[in-house]
Amino acid sequence: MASRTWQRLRDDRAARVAIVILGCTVAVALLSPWIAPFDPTFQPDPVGLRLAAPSWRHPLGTDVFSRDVLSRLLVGARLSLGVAVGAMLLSATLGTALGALAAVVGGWVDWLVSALVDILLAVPRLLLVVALVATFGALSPVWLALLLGGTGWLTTARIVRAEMRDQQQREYILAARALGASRWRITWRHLLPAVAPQVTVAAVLALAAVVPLEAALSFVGLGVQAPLPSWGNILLDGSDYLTTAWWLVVFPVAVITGTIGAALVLADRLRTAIAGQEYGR
Amino acid sequence: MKRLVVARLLQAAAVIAVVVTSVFVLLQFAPGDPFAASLEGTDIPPGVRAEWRARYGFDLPPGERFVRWIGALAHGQLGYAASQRRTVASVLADALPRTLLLVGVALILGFTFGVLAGLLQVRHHRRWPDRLLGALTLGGVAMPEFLLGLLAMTWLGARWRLFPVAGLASEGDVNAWPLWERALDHLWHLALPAGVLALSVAARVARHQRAALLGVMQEDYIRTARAKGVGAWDVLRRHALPNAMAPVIALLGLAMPSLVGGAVLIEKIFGWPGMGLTLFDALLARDYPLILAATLLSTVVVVAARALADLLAAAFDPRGLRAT
Repeated sequence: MASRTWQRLRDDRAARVAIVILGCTVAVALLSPWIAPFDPTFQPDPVGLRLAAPSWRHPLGTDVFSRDVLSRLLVGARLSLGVAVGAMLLSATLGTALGALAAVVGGWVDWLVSALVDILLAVPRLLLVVALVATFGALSPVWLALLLGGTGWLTTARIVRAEMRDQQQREYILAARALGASRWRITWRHLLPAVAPQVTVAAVLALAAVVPLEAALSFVGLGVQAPLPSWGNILLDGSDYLTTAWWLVVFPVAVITGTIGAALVLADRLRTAIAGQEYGR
Repeated sequence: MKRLVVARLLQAAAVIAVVVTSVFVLLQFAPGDPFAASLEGTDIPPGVRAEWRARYGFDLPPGERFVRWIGALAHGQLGYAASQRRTVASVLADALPRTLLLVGVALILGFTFGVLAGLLQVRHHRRWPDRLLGALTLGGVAMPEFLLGLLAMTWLGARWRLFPVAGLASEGDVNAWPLWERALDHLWHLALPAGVLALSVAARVARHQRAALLGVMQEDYIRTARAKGVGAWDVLRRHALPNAMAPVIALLGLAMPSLVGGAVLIEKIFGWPGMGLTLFDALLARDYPLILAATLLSTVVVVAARALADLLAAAFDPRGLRAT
């Protein structure tokens, strides 16, 4: 099933473009210490190269401390994407576990999980995260990923719960029960693989939701702290020089938007590919 | 329908109660209090600090403070906002209308343009208007509001000076201007923040409207209407659109929290002193009474808007009622 979905994705031009963009971004993030032309915190000439426009030596210009913007974006990808991917993995795991628990155990556990999801869905996630960080102080990137992941599992849990309850009605689950399989064996061997495609889509969407959150947090000074570069705090540094240094705004915006757009397109095409798998054969 | 309304209201009340209680409990674990910034680290004697805290009830155990806060709330008393040196009620009375104006204008504009774009895309399905609008709306969904805000501010505001970049009104003797000029000035300041939010809403609405319309256009009754000689536009507008509205309205309800979250950043960037900016500053100043009241009010607005969207969606499409 997975290979058929993959085949459909490869035949889809939009999906191919999205995968290539995301793949390049991840590769650049992983390789950034070796491919970045400068140290992202290196200040070669704080007077002469202050806010220098893009040139051959600094293709994306320099910031107010004469640091190379290209290097900061490349190394910033590491932190921004690292936090985002960490948060995505955590929210996918938490959402699957809690959604499965609600669907399989039922009763008051189901009620509790559903109530928690309903309540948290009514709270703006950005506001919740800003409130937590503003109250308890700035976080290290690892804690940032945990916080963003810990607030991002709601939709995954909802989807997993609904899909598992739907699957539980089908004959093959009844057959497994008739054969004497335990509740947890059915969950592990049948229900979890059945929801895996939906969880994948939800995880890609969660990535698309976390990238702007991290950028926003760093932009208001509550996320990744200086001098570490992240896509958000490069923008924060640039926001004071809007009239003089457009390159401090345009390039981070392009990178952030491109990543989110690629993730959104991939999630959309993945959903179509999976649906085709189910109905079209 | 009546049962749905009652159930929705009860659920909304429960959500508000839980959110406010959680905020209160969370604040107990937070370091500092409203007086930390003004009292700690100064040479004010400890006795005076204790007296100030006692005057505003910060020496009481958390449980008693919560009961007192609820009691005062029941009497319409929201307390004193130490960081702004005036009552919480007056701070919120200033901030709430500004946010409602910003989000309201953005919602109305965004919804209208989103629905129009969706209609246009389906009317010219797979031709250039559809592809162009599809690319634009994908960009609108992919670009976070605050980035669009920064770009708009850089070019439309700071470089070409078409719009003011911050604040509610022009500087100077604005109050001496005639009323209509002041109103225009206010709208001119509203244009960038509301326009940015509206574009973001429009992109989301358009994508969902297009998908919903394409789904409805497959139905038999549409083919019947076409066969009877109804024009392409009339079929879309009069027959397909009403049935494709419900999912879009439901989406708006679900998107309410993230719209408010996006509005917080827009308010911060454009210096629009609404609820978001107030709450943001209150959090940094540890102004507990203001944080609690602002959270309560925002949650009420968000939950009410979501409930309203649910009911509207149900009114547009009563088929879903039987399922719930």
